[in-house]
Amino acid sequence: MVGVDVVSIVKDYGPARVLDGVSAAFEPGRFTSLLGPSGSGKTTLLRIIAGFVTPNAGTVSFGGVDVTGEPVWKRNVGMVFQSYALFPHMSVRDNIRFGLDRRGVRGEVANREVNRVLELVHLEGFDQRRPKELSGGQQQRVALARAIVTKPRVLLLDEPLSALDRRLRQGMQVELRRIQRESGLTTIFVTHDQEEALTLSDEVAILDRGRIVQHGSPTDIYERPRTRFAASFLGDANFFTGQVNAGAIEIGPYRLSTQDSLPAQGSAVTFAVRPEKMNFQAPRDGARPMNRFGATLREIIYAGATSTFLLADDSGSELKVFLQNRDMAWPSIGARVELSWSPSDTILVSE
Amino acid sequence: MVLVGRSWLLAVVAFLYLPIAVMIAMAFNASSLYALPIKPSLQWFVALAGDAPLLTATRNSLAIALFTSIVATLVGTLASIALSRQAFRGRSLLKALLLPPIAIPWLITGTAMLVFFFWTGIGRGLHAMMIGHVALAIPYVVLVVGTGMEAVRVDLEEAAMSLGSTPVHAFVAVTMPLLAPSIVAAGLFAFAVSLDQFVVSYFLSTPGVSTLPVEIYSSIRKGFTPEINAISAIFFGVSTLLVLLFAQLSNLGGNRGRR
Repeated sequence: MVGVDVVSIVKDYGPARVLDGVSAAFEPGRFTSLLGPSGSGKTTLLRIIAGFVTPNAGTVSFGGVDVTGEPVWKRNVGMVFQSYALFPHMSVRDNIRFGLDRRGVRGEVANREVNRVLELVHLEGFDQRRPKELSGGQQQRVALARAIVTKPRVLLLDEPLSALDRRLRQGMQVELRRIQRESGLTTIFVTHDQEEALTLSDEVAILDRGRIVQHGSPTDIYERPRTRFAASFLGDANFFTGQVNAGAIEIGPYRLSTQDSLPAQGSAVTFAVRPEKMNFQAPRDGARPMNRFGATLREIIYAGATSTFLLADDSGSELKVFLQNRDMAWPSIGARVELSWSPSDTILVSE
Repeated sequence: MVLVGRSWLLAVVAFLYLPIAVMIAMAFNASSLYALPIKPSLQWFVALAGDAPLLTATRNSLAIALFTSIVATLVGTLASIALSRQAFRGRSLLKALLLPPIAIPWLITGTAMLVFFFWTGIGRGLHAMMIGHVALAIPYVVLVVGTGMEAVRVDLEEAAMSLGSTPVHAFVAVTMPLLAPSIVAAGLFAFAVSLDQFVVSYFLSTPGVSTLPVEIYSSIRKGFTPEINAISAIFFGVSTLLVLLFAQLSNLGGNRGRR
């Protein structure tokens, strides 16, 4: 089990800079998601770590050893492709045995290893099938078994769940996490699905236009986004812009406090509040002083367990509130309401 | 609706095969004057065995077709692989240039080759026909193998490399087996293109050295005998077999690489 470090990676395709000085440490045995919109460079970063793409600058090292100059076939990585890339002319067993054969592991030893991973992915008895005789979920598991049977130094997953339907995908997420824990492999997972990234990962790195904008635990990234992009890409967020005045943020008649440290008096600041952190009726005499902000209710979107409330503030910008449908005592549409939330949920973000 | 569709299809097939059917039937008819009813006989086939010029032409045809098939498949396959896997300047231009020869009338190609071969001193004869046929067949090979290459997705080679294969090993262990049906199909197609070629062969043949189609044509000019029906029937059989094999293989090649 080794860690993976990338330092100051730059990659240009013609005039386009795809990765712009990316540095990140992937700790041994951890499951890290690279999350970002298409074109953010996440797949290119994965392919640089795999060795399919050579960076213009920067280094990749496995366990402290620089592998930047090593081609993919010498790096001992396990990779699962978006399309699974199973060899159609080989049986499941031969697919899984391929990497062992390349390492000189053959005969009974190889068979035992194949059986071990088949058991791990719950596909015992499927070893003589051809890939096209398997369902999408089964092909996915064969691809995973093939990638981990060689005990690679790092497991790389390129959106492997995106071709599955929703229900199957959720099942596979649980499976993938179990297999990753049991094998203890350092895992890097590329996805554009934020929910998947939060559910699966020990750590999430958010990429935007060739840079990692934030890297941390899922709760850290979700609860304390550092930029407007991170806050809006991962989950929903309400954004406010005001001015610093005497230890609080002023927006019109409202004075809002935060636990984050504020910049100098008079500077403009933007902060984000998650929609589920807001409420309509806050105890006025609570132990904690709450932030309050006036708005007009525009629409209620009922969705069974929860409802989404769309509101407009005095300047006309849209605000969003998520609430559980516990007592259903909602204000009516068009009503003037007062939103409240805790200062600790008032997160300063940079633009 | 189904009945109409089927009748229409039958009419089309009849339109395609009726002349050939009559020719084959007459090859087995003892009468040289196309008299009906047909009196079954193999005499025209037996007569073929004694026709020395026809036999020589057949040998020439097969030799040229075999040579064409091997050389065009080799050259065309390598070109296809380069076109689909390597990025280099002018690739799309080269790719575009490989296909128009299929649409150029053989009369034009034949004339051009004749002029060019005379000018360069290659001249006419067996070797000239071989060179000419290879040139005619290469675009078809590129087309067939290129389609096969598209079915072998790049990520299959990448998967092999991630598992420890060098690019050469990935090609041999993964791409080649998946491409093999397309390569064999291309070889059969090149063989058929050469075997059935008349115009270019006619231009490049010399009085003593001709191919089967050219020989059949000159026999007809000298005077039509039912022997022509017999040799044509055999020719038809071989060509049909080649095309059916090709269709079978290129189907396989197309499906195997996909999920």
